[in-house]
Order: sequence, then structure tokens, then C-alpha cells
Amino acid sequence: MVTTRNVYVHYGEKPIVKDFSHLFKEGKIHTIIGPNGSGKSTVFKALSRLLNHKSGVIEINETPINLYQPKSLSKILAVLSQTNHAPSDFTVRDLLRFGRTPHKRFFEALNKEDDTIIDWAIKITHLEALENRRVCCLSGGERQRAWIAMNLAQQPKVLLLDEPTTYLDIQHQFEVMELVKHLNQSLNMTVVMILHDLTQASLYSDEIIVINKGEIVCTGTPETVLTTELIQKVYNVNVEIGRHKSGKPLIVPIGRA
Amino acid sequence: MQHDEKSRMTKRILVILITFCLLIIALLFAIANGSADFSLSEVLTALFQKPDDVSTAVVWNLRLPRAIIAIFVGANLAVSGVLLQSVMGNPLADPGLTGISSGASLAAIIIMLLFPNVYHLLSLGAFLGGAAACLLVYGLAWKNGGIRPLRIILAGVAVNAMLGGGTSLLSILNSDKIQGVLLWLNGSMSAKSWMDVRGLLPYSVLGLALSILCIRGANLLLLGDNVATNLGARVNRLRILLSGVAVLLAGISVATVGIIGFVGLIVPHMSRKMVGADYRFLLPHSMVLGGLVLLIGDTLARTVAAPVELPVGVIMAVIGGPFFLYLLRKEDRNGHDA
Ligand SMILES: Nc1ncnc2c1ncn2[C@@H]1O[C@H](COP(=O)(O)OP(=O)(O)OP(=O)(O)O)[C@@H](O)[C@H]1O
Ligand SMILES: [Mg+2]
Repeated sequence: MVTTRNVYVHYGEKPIVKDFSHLFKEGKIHTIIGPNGSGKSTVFKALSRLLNHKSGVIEINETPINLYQPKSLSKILAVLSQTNHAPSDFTVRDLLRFGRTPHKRFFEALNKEDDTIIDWAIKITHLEALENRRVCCLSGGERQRAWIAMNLAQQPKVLLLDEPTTYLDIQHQFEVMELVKHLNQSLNMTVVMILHDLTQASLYSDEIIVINKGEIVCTGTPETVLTTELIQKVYNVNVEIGRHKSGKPLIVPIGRA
Repeated sequence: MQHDEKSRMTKRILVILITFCLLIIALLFAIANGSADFSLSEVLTALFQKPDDVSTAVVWNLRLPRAIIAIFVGANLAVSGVLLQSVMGNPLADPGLTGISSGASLAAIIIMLLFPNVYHLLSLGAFLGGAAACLLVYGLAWKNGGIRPLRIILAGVAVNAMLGGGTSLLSILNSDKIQGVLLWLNGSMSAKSWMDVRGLLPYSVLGLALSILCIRGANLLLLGDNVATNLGARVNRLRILLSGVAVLLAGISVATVGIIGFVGLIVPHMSRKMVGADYRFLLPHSMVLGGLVLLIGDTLARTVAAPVELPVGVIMAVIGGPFFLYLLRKEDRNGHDA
């Protein structure tokens, strides 16, 4: 689905992401973890063409991303940024209308079909009761769902989520993660997310990619990747690892390494 | 819940319609009042039956073309402002502050005074002059990949002063031909004829029609560059396109009536209060309200100090200056999204 080979991304002269090679498989949930400033968001920026990669290849469906028209790329790939800002008096529904942009010509109005798709996105994210509320006046969790709903209105094949659960309480975190799982299972959507909570990453991911200082340290299933040694090496903390009933690791920090 | 959405839209459309009705009323009022006052029935008779008398002559040859020009110039300037505000992501942007008006004005004066033989290219010249000045201000305000509002204002002040200096210099060197130019510099609609209407109207209609096509793009920029890009917009191209339409609208307005400040600032702000930030409603409403505000301004200019006629630019400056300071203060307090 999404393939990167030897990708380097620079800010100015400085390499931020180095030699990033990975195959993101169709219909799987992938999670990128790594310390603050390790280059996770920068990988997303390169995948979504907000930043040009300096060298290497990024392909979606076997086509290099620089060959896509911006709109064709947006029909395949939707991105939830780490920070978002909607104009103060836009409602949830107003926001979702923007999700249809890639499917429309520059001056073309939305039609019945677009409304149906917007209704569907509202329903799947459980926003029915909030669709006419202003985005700025929602709680953090509701707002996050609204932005994800906008991404869904794009009808993408691949969803990039940059820290979708940061700032949310445990209930809203759970809701967002369950939504992601549901989208993945019911629509076979390919998901790549960035998370800081290792236990969350463990429970919801098919594959985890660990990066540190811009380089991939290790990839694999949660069971193989999330070991005390690796976490100690990357994060400088000692952790205790428990087992969820599914067999997936649960991570509890216990001291500085 | 669909119902809420409908009623909100209906309300906004209603506000636009009401503003439009007010515009029609203001138009009739503007035509009826002046050095000779007519009653409503006299105005309507003159407009629709055209009897061969004084009122017909005054209405048709003097007041109607002037009112039409006021309406279109007001609409142009307001829409120009509202587009620039989306381009810069800041409610303080307007054609005056961004140098478009003074650039267009200098270009127009150069043509009027030095190259009167290409007078028919006045609109084009004003457009190019406005575009050049606008580029200069953007260039100066640009730093680290972004445009900071404060830098725009500073760069705008500098560029406006420079271009204004050029305009003064030209005026002094050509003091023999300066009469008309002086009035024009303060933004005036006196002695406008059907010929001026014919010069303004086609470009206005073109620019305003293009601005309607810009609505989706202007809305997209409100979400910020990253989100807009992720939705498939080419952000830089979009900015250039919107600025181009804004320059066209402001440029032809300046070429016709001279510099009238603050319309592009006040009107969008009022419209935002009335119909919200969504350009699907904001832009059409600004268009209508812009026409209304400038028509009222010009009617005041003709009548407050009668028989002396004030330039409408002066009226707008007297109202607009304090308003601008108020917005600036608010901007200070709220950070970026006043
Ligand atoms: N616009 C920018 N210009 C220059 N350097 C930048 C820019 N944005 C990020 N960086 C640098 O790139 C590096 C990686 O940043 P990035 O945002 O990818 O980190 P991250 O892994 O997403 O971190 P976090 O977990 O804090 O979100 C950091 O050192 C950061 O300082
Ligand atoms: Mg980040």
C-alpha cells in the first residue's frame, strides 16, 4: 500500500529522518513510536507531501507520491495533524464539508451524494447529536472525533493519525482507539498512527515501528518489539511488562535506566 | 438536526437579502437627495417613464451613474478586502494597507499626467501598479516562510509612504494639470458620468464573478496551510489567485474614483458579525454591504456640508480610522484571531 525506501527528510541542511524504509501493509494498523523530537511527525509530513523528501522513494499503490496530483493523493490519503484549528463559528457539519474538497472541482458545489457521505461519516464517528455544534466549543475528545470524521469524508484508503489520543481522558482515548479499530476492521482501512502510550500501541497495532533520532530502530509485532531492553535503550526508562489476556504486552515504567 | 442547519442557512440568506433591500432603498434615497430634492414618486417617474424634464436629466445624467459607481466601487473594495483577509489569514488585511491602492494610484497618475495618449489603458495600468505594490509588501512582510500581520502593517506603511511620495512629486512637477488629480487622490465620485460607468462595470462584474468562484478556496485557507494541503489544495497557487482577483477589484476601483480607504476593512468585519466567517455567506454579504456603505458614505459626502461637496474618501477615513485602531487593539488582545 504505502512503501518507503531509503527516505531522507531534511529541515534546511539538517537531516531529520534518515534512511527510512518500510512497507505499510494494506488493511493493517501500524504505529510509530519514539521519543519527543525523534522525527515521527516529520515522517508524516513527507508521506503527505507537506515536506519534500530529499532522497529515497515514497510510493502509494506502486506510484511515487510526487507523481500524484494533489487531489488524487488526498482521495487516497487523509491526515489528522497533531494540532488543528477550525474557524470559530464553523460547525461540525461545516468542517466535514471540507472533507469533500478532493472530490470536487475548484468551483463545484456539493450535491446530495456528498451529503450522504457526510451523513455516513457523522454516523460512524457518533457525532449525530453534535453535528450543528461549533467545533471550537466541543470537548477535546469530541473535537478529535470531528476532525477524524472530516478525514473520513475524504473517503481515503489510508489514514495517518498524529497522536490522536493526546490530551484526552481515558474514556475518550478508548473511544478514539475503538473507532480506529472499527474503521480498520469494517472498511479495511490502512492506518498509520503516532502514539506515545506504549500500552495503547501494543493493544491496537498489528505492527510497531520504533524510531529514535530519525532512524528506525526496530519493527515488528507488539510482542516482539516491546521488550524491556528496547524500551530501556530508546527511552532510558526501566519498565515492567505484563500480559493482557490477548497475550499483548502491557508496559509500566518503574524507574530511570 | 438537519433542521438546525437549514434554519441557520435560511437566516444567513435572509440577512443578505435584507441588506440588498436596504441597498435598493439607499439607492432611491441617494437619487432623490442633493442640491435639488425630489420625492420618491418623482424619482420613480424619472427612472421608469423618463419624461423630458429637469428631474430626468438630474437623475439619469448625474445621480444614477454616480450611485452605480459608488455601489460597485464599494462592492469591489469590500470583496477585495475579504479575499486578502483569507490570503493572509488575518482580519486586518485590506487593499489600502497592503499597498494595492497606492500602487494603483501612482500608476494611474503616471498615465494621466505623463502618458495621456494611453488613457484607455488606465485600468490595466492601475491593476499592474496595484499588483506590483502588493508583491512588494508581501515580499517585505515575508519571513521564515510566513507572513506576520505586524510585518504587513509596517511594510504597508513604508510602501504606502514611498508610493505616496512618488505621487506627490509627480503632482508638484505637473502642478498645471493637477486640478482633477487632487480631487481624485482623496477618492471622489463627483462628476462621474456614464462613461465612467462603462469603464468600471465590465471589469467589476468580471472581478466579482471571479470572486464567487474563489469562495471554496478562501474557506480552505481558513483551516491553515497544512490542512488545506492535505485536502489537495495547492496553497501557494490559491494565494496568488485570490490576491490577483483582489488586486483586479481594488485596481479598477482606484482607477475610477481614486483612493478610498477602510471599506475593505470595516465592511468584512461587519459582515462577519452578521453572517459568520463562512465565505459562502461572508463574501456575497460583504459585496452587498460594501455597495451599501459606500453609497451611504457618498450620499453623506454630497449632502452634509452642502453646497460644498466632500470627497467620500475623507468621510470613509473619518469613520474608518478610529475603527481600524479599535480592530488593532482587539487583535492585540486576542492574538491572531480577532
Ligand atoms: N519547521 C521546522 N523547522 C526546523 N526544524 C523542525 C521543524 N519542525 C520540526 N523540526 C525538528 O525536527 C525534529 C523532529 O520533529 P518532529 O516534529 O518530527 O518530532 P516528533 O517525533 O513528532 O516529536 P513529538 O513527539 O514531540 O511530536 C525536531 O528536532 C524538531 O526540532
Ligand atoms: Mg510530533
